[in-house]
Amino acid sequence: MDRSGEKPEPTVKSGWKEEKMKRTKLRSIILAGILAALSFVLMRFTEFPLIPAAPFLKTDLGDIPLLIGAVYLGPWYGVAIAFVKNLLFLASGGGSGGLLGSTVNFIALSSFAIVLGSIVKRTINLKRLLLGFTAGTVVMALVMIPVNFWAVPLFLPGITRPALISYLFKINLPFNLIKGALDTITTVVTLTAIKKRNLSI
Amino acid sequence: MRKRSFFGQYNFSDSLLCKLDPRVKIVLVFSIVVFLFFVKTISGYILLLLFSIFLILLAKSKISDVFRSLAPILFLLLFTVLFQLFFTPGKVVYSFFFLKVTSEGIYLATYIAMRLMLLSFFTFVLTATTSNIELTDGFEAVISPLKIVRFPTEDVALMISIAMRFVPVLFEEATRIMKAQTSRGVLFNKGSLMQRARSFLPLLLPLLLNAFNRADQLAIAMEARGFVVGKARTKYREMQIKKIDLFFIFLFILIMAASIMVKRI
Repeated sequence: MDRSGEKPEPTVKSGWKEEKMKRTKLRSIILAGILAALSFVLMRFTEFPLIPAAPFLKTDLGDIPLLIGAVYLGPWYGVAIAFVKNLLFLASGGGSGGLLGSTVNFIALSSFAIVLGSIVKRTINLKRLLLGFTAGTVVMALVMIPVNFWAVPLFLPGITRPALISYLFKINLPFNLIKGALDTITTVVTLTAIKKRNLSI
Repeated sequence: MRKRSFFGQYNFSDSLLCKLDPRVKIVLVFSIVVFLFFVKTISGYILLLLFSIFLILLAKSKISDVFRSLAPILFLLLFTVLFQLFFTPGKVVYSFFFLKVTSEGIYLATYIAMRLMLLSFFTFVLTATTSNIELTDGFEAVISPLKIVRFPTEDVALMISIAMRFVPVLFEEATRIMKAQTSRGVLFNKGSLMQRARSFLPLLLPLLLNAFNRADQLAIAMEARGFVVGKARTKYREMQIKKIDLFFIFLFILIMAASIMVKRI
């Protein structure tokens, strides 16, 4: 049969548009709040170190709800989710980093969310998603260099400048790139799974 | 159970600190935590440490709770202390094969260990004496001046209270789904990095889909009850600053001034 005449997904697309109109601000705020809570819960469930040489650089699946929030709700909701998630983390007694760790995590994730959210702009197709995630990863890794340049000496005042720079480029930069790549893969897989179910978000 | 150790830091008591205005507590603890990074002497840190112990005693918290709050930073503490101890150049006090302990190293290690402990002690004092509702209300009040620059403070506060409300629910749900999927043969925490990341999809997807459903239901329920985003609402509990709050503000300022003025040992 010749299938070229058929349009494969007209119903899905119009469905998306219709649902988008229905989304109210209240619903977005509630969804963002729940995603922040989910992000926090997953962070506590699934913290594992990425590079064996630097066990304090941890990653977790808590970024997935946040990035999904940035994709569906927009960049500023992504930033808000990152903020609330770190606030919850602090209120629950704080992770290994305390206030400083939370601030650094917030800066990293919000830079990722801003770039991702403004590239994707709520239109979800694979091309834009991959572009957004790649740009987000790169921007996050680049932003983390000056931030860590400021933050690491607060934990290790004795560190020398060459040691700090070699740490930043040999451990920290690859770590952030791997972390971003892992986030990209897991989130895109999750997003496709959600889209397959043809849900209205 | 483990659920308690999540937000279980708060325990109600009739202590003075529990009665303080949450806004005052948040601002004071936040400012002293930032201030910690400006104290350059160990004697200043000793003063602050004594002060934090005084606050912990005043909060009537259990010693075991205090030590449990140190547990997450234990690894970082050990790592930084050992790093400072062995890799700081200076006058060698003791050497063991290739490891050299210098006097500067000992100084820096003590300094950084105290800084990390103080950070977690002061945060503990706040979270142990303030309930979640008070924290949210206090935080909303603290950021409310940002309204001038058109920052949506009410929206953020609503998000925070919803997030706090849903953490125990989602935690329970995650545990349940994890058990259900384990009984179906999903292996969490096993295999390579990619395998582990993939094994969380059966956990993540139900959680996310439930989150979407919940957001729908809650939004409908709230709108049906006449909730309007950003509109001013009345509160059941009004916060007000009393004499005891002013006393603590004064005390904190005094301690901060004293700790920066004490001479270097």
